Amino acid sequence: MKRVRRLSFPARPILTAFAVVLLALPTSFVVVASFTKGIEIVFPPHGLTFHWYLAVVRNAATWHALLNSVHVALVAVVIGIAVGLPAALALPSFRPRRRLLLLLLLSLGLSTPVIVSAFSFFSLFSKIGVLSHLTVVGLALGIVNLPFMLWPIISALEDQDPELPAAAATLGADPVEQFLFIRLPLMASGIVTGAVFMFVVSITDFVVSEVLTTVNDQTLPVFIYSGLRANISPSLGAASAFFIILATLVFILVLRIGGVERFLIRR
Amino acid sequence: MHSARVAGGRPADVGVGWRLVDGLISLRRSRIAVRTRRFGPVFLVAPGIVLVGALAVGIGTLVWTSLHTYDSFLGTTGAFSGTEYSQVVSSPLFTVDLVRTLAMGILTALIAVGLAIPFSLVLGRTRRRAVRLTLMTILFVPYLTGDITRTFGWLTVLSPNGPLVWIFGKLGIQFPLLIGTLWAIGLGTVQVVLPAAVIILLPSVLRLDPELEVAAATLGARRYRTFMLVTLPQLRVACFGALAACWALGVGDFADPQILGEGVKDYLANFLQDRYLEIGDAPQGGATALIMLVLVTCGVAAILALGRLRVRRRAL
Repeated sequence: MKRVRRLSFPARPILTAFAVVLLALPTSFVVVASFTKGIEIVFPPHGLTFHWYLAVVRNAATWHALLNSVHVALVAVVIGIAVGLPAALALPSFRPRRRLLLLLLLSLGLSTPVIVSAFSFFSLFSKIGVLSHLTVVGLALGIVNLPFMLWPIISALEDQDPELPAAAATLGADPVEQFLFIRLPLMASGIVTGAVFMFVVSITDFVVSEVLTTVNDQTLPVFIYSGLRANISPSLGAASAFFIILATLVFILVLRIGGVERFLIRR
Repeated sequence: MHSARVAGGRPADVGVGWRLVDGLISLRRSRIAVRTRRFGPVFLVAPGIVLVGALAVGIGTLVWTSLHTYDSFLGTTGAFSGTEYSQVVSSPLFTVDLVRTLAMGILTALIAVGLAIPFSLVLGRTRRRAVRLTLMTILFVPYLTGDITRTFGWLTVLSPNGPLVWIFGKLGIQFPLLIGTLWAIGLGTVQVVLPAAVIILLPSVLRLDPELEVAAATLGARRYRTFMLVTLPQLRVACFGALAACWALGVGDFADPQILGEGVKDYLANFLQDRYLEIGDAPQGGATALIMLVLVTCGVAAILALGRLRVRRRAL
């Protein structure tokens, strides 16, 4: 193994380090910026303060936008579970070609450019007169982000020992009992992984929310964007840091469940 | 002494939970359920198809709108026509945005795949779980934080008061101001498409046979030749897959040109929003959306076909 590593692409560590910096630097600097003293973000910071966090917590508009974001994300998760779980359970029953076709259809939201999806929903919802309802924003996000729910559940299903339901059947378990007490608990990690991923990508969504929400029902990313157009202040850093904390916590949770690592590092 | 038994073979005086289970078993055994059992998978997948169908219908309404004339003064839709497409295509702004989107789409996809190959090789081959988890966290957390947090991060990093200007200033180098340029947009786009490239490349990296690289080395191949002639060909199909995904994401990018480009380096996505919401010309917006959809789909198909073409040639 050591020999293989020596033989590997020579620029690999440099390029990997560059990729790490490219990925991590902006996110890390948002956190630094959120603690900056003074009304302008400067490097190195003139001092550190929690003032901006307190300002964000005390700002009613931020809370309103955050609650709107939570609303749309929860609607998206409920739709994702209600629709994604049965679909993921049914997909293995289809022949490979039909299964692939159905999977491609169900992933339409992710394969279509997000801005096109956003305006498609805008056009549809305005025609049926349901535009500017937070629940329909959640519905749109549930459709666009459905693959985030499907893939972890399908992955968890594929990891299951196919002999287990048969073994339970020989012990007298009805198919309903096999599903409830064997397959469902084994799928739980996939469902939780899918749900938290869907929650995070929906709560942090900008494009769909920007197109479908109005000034009165802005979600937190749209609210931060409105601030960005005016001034890049540390208070926006504090509001953005909320998403970094949320994303990090969720990713640690998902890693602990094991879903992502198992999904990615499968040989 | 013995209480009556129900569907699951349990005594009738069990708790509510078991009664629910027994109810479900009875339902499964009911005549309707037995008769419709073979349609079970269809019933299960149908809600998902219906929901995704809403998106398809939405795209259909965009296309329908784009195929009608529009009076921008009165704001009324007229007869069935393709004039909106000719108006969009003949707009000089559209041409500029189109060329920019296509050029940046392919460039950022190439850079992202170029970075994703070594990243996934390190991620896939490391024996240290801590390194793997750290790399996975660095890869996914910025993606999960969303467009706004990412672009806000870039705005602060690239600003005149940011760390890059400060660090380069200390080294005596004047760092150029990148906000509002294609450099800033490119950096933001590569950051957002890189995770997709790694996810697509990783399974192929994990399937690489390390013995082949050892064999190449024992035959005298240097590291560069080993990588180019042994490792890379094994990753070829995945590379084209990653390139296609990065292309699709890059061409559809909206937030990076909107925020990091400061509205002066628009992509087609921003052109679409301007037409639809700022100018209020829904048919031209719809036409732009359809053009984008065709470009993304054709680009993905062409890239994947290119990957297969090489495989066939080598096989012959």
